[in-house]
Amino acid sequence: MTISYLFWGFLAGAGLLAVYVGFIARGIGALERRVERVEEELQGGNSSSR
Amino acid sequence: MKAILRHPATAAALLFAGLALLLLGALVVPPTERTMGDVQRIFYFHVGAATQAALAYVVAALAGALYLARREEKWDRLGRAAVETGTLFATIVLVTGPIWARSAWGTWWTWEPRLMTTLIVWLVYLGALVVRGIASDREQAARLAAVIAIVGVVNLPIVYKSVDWWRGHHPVVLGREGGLAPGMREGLLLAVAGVAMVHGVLGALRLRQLRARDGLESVERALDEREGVR
Repeated sequence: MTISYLFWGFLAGAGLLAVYVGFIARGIGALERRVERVEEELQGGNSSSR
Repeated sequence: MKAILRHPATAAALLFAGLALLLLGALVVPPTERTMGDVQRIFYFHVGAATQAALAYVVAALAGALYLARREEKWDRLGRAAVETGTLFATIVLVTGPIWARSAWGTWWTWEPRLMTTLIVWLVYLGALVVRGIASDREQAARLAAVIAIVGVVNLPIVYKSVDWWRGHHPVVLGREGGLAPGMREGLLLAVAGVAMVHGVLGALRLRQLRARDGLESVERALDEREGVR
């Protein structure tokens, strides 16, 4: 009985942790896209100034 | 793995699946152990985490060797991510072990060879993380962390063989004949697979984050140079 409670309790905790990690992954994705955009802008700026 | 994890929902789903596998392997599949009862189920978390800590430290040492040989930042990033995940799992090992020991041996901690050598490995790799924090420049930090990761990995076979060499009383179930009862073996396999999935997700995300951070720094440098030109 205790093990059953533990299982469902931990599983709920795992769900919350997964949502949290999902948000972190979203943040990393946004950072990656931003860096790519600035890199492209920089390259564009450099090639137009040449 | 990199492409799969691009979607935040996929990363979350994989992490959840890994944790669910671990819980199935530890709490549902194996039978209750006769002498210790349910406390023995800590074993699945403990061994699962130990396998991943060892794997991460081996990866860190390989990445460290490659960084020292080629001086490419990608190896430094891999080494750093591996040391971090390895230390996370080694910490889980050092937390779950004493919980089990309190019930089995009647004490939280004893200076037993397996416990002592595991603590030493944990401290060595913690040192690699501290060095990164206090080194004066990035290149020096990467070099020192690589050396520590390579030196640290020598401890892993010592940890593994410590029970035999110094006659410790830490249980040995892997690599011994007739080690685990039916059901427990399957449980352990599920638990190890689950922790490996969690490890994969966390490691890949940390790698991506470190790569993005390096990209940001190089963009900042390029902008500074451009400002300087003007």
